[in-house]
Amino acid sequence: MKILIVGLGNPILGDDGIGWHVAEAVSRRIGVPLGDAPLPGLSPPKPQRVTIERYSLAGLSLMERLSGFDYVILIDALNTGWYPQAKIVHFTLADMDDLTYGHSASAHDVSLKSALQLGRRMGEPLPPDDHIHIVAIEAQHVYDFQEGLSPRIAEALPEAVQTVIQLLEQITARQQPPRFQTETS
Amino acid sequence: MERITIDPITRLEGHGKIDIFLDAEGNVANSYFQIPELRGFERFCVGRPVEEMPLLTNRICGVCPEAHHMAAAKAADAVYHVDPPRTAKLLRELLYMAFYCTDHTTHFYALGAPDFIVGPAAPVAERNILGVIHKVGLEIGGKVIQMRKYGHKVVEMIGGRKVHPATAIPGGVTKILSEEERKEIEAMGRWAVDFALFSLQAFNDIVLANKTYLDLILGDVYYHRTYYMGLVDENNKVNFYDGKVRVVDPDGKEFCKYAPHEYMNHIAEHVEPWTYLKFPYLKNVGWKGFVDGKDSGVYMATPLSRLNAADGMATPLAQEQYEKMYATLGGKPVHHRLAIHWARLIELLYAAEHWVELATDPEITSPNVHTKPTEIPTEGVGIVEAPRGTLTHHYWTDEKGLLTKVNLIVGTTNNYAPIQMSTNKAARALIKGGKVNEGLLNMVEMAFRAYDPCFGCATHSLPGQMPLEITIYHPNGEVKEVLKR
Repeated sequence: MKILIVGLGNPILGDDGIGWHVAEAVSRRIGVPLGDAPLPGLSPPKPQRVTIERYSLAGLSLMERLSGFDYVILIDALNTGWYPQAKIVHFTLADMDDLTYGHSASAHDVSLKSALQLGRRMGEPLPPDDHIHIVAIEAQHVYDFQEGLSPRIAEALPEAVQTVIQLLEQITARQQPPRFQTETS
Repeated sequence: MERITIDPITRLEGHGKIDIFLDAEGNVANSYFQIPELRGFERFCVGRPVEEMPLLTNRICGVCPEAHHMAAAKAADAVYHVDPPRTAKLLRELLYMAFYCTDHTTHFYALGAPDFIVGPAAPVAERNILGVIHKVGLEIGGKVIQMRKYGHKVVEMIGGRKVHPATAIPGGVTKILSEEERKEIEAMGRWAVDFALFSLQAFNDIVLANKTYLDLILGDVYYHRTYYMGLVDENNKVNFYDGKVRVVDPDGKEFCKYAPHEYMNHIAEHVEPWTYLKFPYLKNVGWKGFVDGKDSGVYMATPLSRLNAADGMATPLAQEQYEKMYATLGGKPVHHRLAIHWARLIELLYAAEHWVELATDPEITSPNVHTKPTEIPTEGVGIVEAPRGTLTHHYWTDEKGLLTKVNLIVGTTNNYAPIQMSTNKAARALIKGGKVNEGLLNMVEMAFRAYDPCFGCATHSLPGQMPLEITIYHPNGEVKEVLKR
């Protein structure tokens, strides 16, 4: 079973970098070094069971990097205004509405959900939506260029790390056999 | 489990908001296309060594890090008054062509094609890349994925790193290309040429052969007469990496041609009270508002602008397609905004052809890839064409090379005024007497999608509820309707 943990966000955009910080802390806690996940067919796959990455990617580019993994944990900042600052929310991609399904998630890409559907149609070995966990931290200071986190978000870091590690333990304990989801037309 | 109705994965990219105000008759009085602003990048950079900029600026955005990497490297060359060896320039350009192929492919198939191949009136759930595959066949999807893989691979081989290349430094690049790598890159480039030709053929068969689509392209809703900007080589052919910026007027005549360091003599920025983003315009024409014509300093910088601003393409197959486009659409310049999609495919072909040219250049594997900077650093400007518009980086440093000031004009920002005009025109055409046409959302989206705007660097994104929200107001300021996706 191969598990990928990804810290998402922009590390030079204040609290937007929380995903990177959590991924780095998880890496230290479980003793797995940060490293680039191999792109399919490009580099030899790494032997370890858990891979930890940090990306500033979305949509198709992110989908391409989830290929070959059974489970994924994405860690990202959330900017909804619905939750108190630093609130940690956990859900899976299957729980999310794909509001952007119809067209683009943005002006320049498709949503991760649409990208995953495309990848599966093309035969990429991608994990199913309910194997893609998202640990998100509500943050407001995501529009100003700066390194480091604001104090409230920095305080939430240990809890976010703990959430990811518990999730990792749950996934590992389940010992589910690999289940690649492919869609047929 | 709680149902979350936002998409946090979209956070790296932009989120548009359009406010439309109606008059007493229920027609559009005005509309405003707003995007959130990213703050403080200049302040963030000041005090850092200029050689960090190629690595730092490619973190501005997840969509076109390669473009920022190149513009920053060229600006840093200029700051150090150093001219990289020919091989270094070839390698930078080769990486850039592979990036262009990836980027243009993604835009066309994921964003542009659904409107034309699935149809602008098709149900929203089908109007996406999956709908394209459903209609045209799995083969297209496989090719798109393959093109992206090859593009990523070349970026990794030359750039030393996936996604955010790390090779360019003041005076050249850090990585030499081996003969083995060169051969592999050449083979991938030849595949890319075939893919680009296949894409143009598909465009021809599916879009141009369909009168409804051709009428849509040639219709008045998506038509604006403006100035056009693009980088050109010494023969006035389109160039993405180097050359001078050429601007043509709405009649297609050269209005000005300037070297990167002269940009401030030609470009000024207009401020509006309703947005933090500025609107660049041609200083020597002047700001006359969001209006078309020769007296208005509004310009566009997109694939179509580059083709309009140049005398042709520097590669043979792309040149043939260039001539075909202008013959079909009634000569130069073309003002129909939806033709940007066609121009993008012609650029895809040019990038692929040039990829092969660069990969077969006898000097591409030379070990001479760096000129050591020896001059005292001062100030410099670097300009490249990002896929979505002319990208300008301007740095000032102290004598130690530490940044004292930074100014960026990013690709999409150039087009902020024309995008505003296009969305406004689409809204006016589709809202009459207070009756909001159901197709409004997509027709307005089509208006700005053609520009391939990326607000990931013009601004940060918000993982907002929707990629686009349109609010329609009564004259008294009450909200009449909110359309969102």
